[in-house]
Amino acid sequence: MEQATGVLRGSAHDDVVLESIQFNEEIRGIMAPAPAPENGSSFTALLELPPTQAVELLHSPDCAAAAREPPCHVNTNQKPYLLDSYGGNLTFPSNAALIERAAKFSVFAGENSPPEDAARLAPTSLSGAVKNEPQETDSNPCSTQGCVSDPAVETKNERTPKRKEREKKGKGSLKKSKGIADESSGDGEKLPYVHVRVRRGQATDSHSLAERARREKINARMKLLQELVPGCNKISGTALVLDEIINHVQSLQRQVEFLSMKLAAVNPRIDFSLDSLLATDGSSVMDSNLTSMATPVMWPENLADGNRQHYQQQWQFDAFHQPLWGREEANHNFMTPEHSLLSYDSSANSASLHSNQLKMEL
Amino acid sequence: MSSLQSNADSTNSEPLQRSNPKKRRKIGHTNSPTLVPWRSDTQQRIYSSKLAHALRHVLRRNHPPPPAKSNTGREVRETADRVLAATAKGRTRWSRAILASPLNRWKLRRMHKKVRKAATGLAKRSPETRRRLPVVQKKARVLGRLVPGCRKLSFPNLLEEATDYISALEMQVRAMTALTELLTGGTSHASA
Repeated sequence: MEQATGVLRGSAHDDVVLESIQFNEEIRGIMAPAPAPENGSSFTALLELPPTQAVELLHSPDCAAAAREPPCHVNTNQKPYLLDSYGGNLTFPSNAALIERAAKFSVFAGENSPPEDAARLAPTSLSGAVKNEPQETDSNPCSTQGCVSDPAVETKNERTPKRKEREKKGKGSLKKSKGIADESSGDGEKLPYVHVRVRRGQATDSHSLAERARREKINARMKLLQELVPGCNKISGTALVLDEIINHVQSLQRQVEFLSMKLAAVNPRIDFSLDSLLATDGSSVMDSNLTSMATPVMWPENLADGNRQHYQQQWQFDAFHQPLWGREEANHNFMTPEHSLLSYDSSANSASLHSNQLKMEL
Repeated sequence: MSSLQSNADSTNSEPLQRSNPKKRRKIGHTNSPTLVPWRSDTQQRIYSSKLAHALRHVLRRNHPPPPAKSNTGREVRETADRVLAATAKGRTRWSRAILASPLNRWKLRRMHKKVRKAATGLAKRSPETRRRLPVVQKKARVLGRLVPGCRKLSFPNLLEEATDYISALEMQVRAMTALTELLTGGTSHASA
């Protein structure tokens, strides 16, 4: 999480720098028509800001366009835009906890969740965000990152070419601002479009950026798969891991086929037992299959609370409880077969155990 | 109860529990679909109960007329797959593909494979042209063929579908194993 936070912190700079130019135009567009105060437009934001900062904000569009602004101005620039896009939610995440949340959600969640969470959770403490020093951007990277994705979705098409141009031009400042956070650019895939952080000395070519974003997406998914498939953690290299995955899928499919053949072979039995064990009453029909019906019949009735699922649980329990009861009326044996049946992983073991006991008994 | 479950699953399920509970939301189109927690107990129960019902229907259909041709296995397998896809609630591509094609997918696939093999056998491939297919892409194609309905899918989406498919398959194997054990255990008891 800290890494993610650091990445957010450092990476927001370039993003923020890039965003500023586009946002400035937006802001001018926003401020020109009559802003309704209750809609959280730019004026509302300005009103909440202390006067000096507000003046700065008003002036900064010009400054930012001319020179690469320090992030604080840019951050304050972005707020009206973000406010407007939220339509009244004066929400700015300024908590470290929120940053972590946004990072967490942005890594795993879809594109909507970071801005939604930010909107829901963040206190509207503009003052805290406004006091940003150029270096202090931990609150706003989150808002930038999280909030950008939401407007980004809407205005994706026009943003992307602009962004890439700015990224190319802003390489110099990128290098400077990225000096703080030199970590890997792993955030690229969270957001709906290319949102890749550039490392020091790496190309900011639009193609390579897209390539990098794509690669990061793929790598993240490969990691998940590696965790899923046993024995893939030690293997390095995409091709070999893919081999393992393919083998695993094939073996699983073969297992399913084998089990289905086995089930088909047990065919005549299924009709009997399924009908009997799934019957709500079960008392009379069970006689045909299982011996010593009295105690087991009592047992499901005690446990059954009218829920269908419970009955089906009983179905799985009873067949095993039967032989045990027949052999020894030990009630403490209830729990173990029940647990073992519930956890399918050990069911194979326990089932073989029970069948062994059955055979011993008979 | 839960402790035993966790003990049994502890090695495998921990990394999954990190990723599964996180519900991914979709924007408009399915970017990252909501994943079913295949490892959870409830899912297993849901699946096994549905499977039992479905199997009953299938096997009752087959049982009175003794099967002349032994295709019961295939039917069982197909019903199991369909039940699995139904349990997935159609959120993933492979589940939709399974449910959408009631025709025998496997038969069609075998036919397709034969056709394709014949075709590639005729096409002459020089060593240079063969190297143009990167190895990873070839394997991605193979994986796409394995996961139902994911042939012409982009690589990252394919990986995601494969993740879900693998966990679903594992659950299916577990459920069917338990079912067969239960039934064969009962059978031996009653017969003896």
